[in-house]
Amino acid sequence: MRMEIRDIKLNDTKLRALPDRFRSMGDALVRRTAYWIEGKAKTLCIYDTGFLRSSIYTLDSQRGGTPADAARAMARSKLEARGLPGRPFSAPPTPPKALTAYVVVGAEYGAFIEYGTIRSRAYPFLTPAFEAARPEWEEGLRKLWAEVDR
Amino acid sequence: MSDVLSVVDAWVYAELSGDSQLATLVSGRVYEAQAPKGAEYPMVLFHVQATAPDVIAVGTFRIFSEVVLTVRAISAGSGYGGCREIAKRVDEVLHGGRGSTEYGTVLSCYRERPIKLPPESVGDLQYWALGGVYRVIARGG
Repeated sequence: MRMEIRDIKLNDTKLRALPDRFRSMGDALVRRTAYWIEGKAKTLCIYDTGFLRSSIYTLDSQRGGTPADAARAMARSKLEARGLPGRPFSAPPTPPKALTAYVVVGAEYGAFIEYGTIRSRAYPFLTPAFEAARPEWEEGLRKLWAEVDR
Repeated sequence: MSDVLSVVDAWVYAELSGDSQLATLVSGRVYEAQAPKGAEYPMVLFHVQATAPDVIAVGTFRIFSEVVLTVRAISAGSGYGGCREIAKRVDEVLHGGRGSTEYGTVLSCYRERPIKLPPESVGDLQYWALGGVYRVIARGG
C-alpha cells in the first residue's frame, strides 16, 4: 500500500511568534513596574524645593534619552521659575534595551538623601518604592508565565 | 510577637560591635541610624532602608519579615582606603549570618548590592563611605 501525504505542514508560525509576544509582554511589565516605582518614589521622597521629586524620571525601551533631557529641562525650569538656583543634575544613562528600564534620580544629591550623610540620617525613597513594587511585579510575572503556558 | 525591626537592629548591632577585628578597626564606633554629635571617625553606621511585605500564612499567622538594611563604613581622609577594610570586615560578619536575640530570630542575612557613595566635603575634610545593602529575614520572638 502506498500512502501519500500532501498539504500537511508543520506550522511553526505561532511557535516562532511566541518569543516575540512573550518579549513584548515582558517589556510591558518591566515598563509598567518602572513607572509605578517612579510614581511611588516621588510620593515617598522628602520635599523641600521639589527639585529632587521632579528630577526622578524613567527611561525605558520606548522612551530614550529625549525624555531625560526633557525631565532635566523641566526640573531646571521649575527652579528658575521660582527664582531658585540650578542644582547639579547627573547625566542620563544610555537608553535601555528591551526588558530593561531605569528609574533615574537626576538630582546628584539623591544618593545622600537615600543613604544619609555624615550629618543627617537617611530618608530612603527609592528602595522602599522598589520593595513596594515587588508584589505587583511578581504577580505580573506569574500572569506572564500563565499566558505563555496556555 | 516582638517588633521584627528590633530583632534586626539588635542582631546587627550585636554582630558588628561584638566582632574583635571590627572593634580594632573602628574602636567600637558602631551606630544605628545616626552617629552621636562629635563622634570620631572611622565608624560603622547602619539603618533600615526599606521593608518588604510580610510573609503571611493562613489568616494572620506571620511567618517572617524582610528588612532591607544599609550598612556603611565611613572614614575621614583622602580616599576610600580608610573605609575599605572596614566595609570588607562588615561584609564578612554579616553576609550569610544568622542568629538569635532576646527579641527573636534572624533567619538569614545576605548582601544584595554593594554601595560606594561619593565623598562628602565638610570644611577641609572629606568623608568617604563604602558598604552594602543587606536583606535580613527575621521573625519576632
